[in-house]
Amino acid sequence: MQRGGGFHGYHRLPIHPTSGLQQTDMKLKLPEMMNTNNPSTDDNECTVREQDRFMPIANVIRIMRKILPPHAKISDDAKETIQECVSEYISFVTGEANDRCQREQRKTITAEDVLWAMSKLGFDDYIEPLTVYLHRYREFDGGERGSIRGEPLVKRATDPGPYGMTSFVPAFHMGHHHNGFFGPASIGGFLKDPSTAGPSGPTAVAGFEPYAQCKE
Amino acid sequence: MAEGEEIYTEIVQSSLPVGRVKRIMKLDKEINKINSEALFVITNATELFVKFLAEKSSEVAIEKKRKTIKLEHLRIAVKRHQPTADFLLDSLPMPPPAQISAKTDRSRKISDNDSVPVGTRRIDSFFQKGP
Repeated sequence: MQRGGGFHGYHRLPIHPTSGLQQTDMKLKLPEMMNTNNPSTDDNECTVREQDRFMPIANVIRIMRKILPPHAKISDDAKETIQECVSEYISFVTGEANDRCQREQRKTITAEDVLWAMSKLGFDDYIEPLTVYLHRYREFDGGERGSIRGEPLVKRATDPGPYGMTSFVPAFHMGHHHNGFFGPASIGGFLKDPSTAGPSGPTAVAGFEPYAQCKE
Repeated sequence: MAEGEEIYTEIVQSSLPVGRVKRIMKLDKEINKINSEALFVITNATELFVKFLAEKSSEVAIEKKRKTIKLEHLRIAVKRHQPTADFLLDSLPMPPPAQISAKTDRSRKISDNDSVPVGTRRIDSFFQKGP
């Protein structure tokens, strides 16, 4: 599907191995952050397969379905555009994070760089939930990637262990419960008052205690 | 829910494949290395962004009494959120040119009646029901 020449660098090429297509493609503006003034990078651009430049559309749609009303439909061009928007977003935030990283003369982008970039770019609303997820990631994902999923936490009702909490719901399942995902109320509802969380007794908590994990 | 019988996952796992996220990040030749935490944060942030676009586009579609979310709804949703508009608006595919000129003519007539400069497009010219 040919598109008008608005999209920075993520134009959809027909499946074509050669780089000759580049000249026949529409007016293409590469984003400043990609800093591509040399033609060799353009060649690399068009030899990257479409599936490498976008998130898989099925995954994107699946995420959207968690939010949308049950019978909502999405037009095909909206789906594809959202797919492209996602890639733009990733590049945009990454570029900003990388700038900071380089300014501080480091070579590796860290989570802090990313969070800083998001705040700078105006996505402050994301900082809180991301910080929570990050803490959980640091606690649990070190050596247990993938393998712990579904393992019962039955023990925790009686033995709080070092964490002092018994249950909490994976954050992304919130989408099922209300459409106002980004309303201030929903974010506030998700994040319990941190001053009340923290290692406490073996209380059974039916809600969310994400900050119980924070060792601030 | 009986106490002690819930099964919850502890790890946060996004619906998006992290390998693909990383590949997209690496399209920018200036990017050197990304640590796994950063990748995790970006992947989850991206998922939040998808949800945001879905929610806001859906709101626009509902405003216009449509069940199908269309590109124009997405565009309006993007415009309404300044940080998103700043980086994304220019990237969206252009609306069909025929529609734009028709709307401009119509809006010019309207604006002549108001005391705004000639040629100003009213914002609701974008919101006319299309074909």
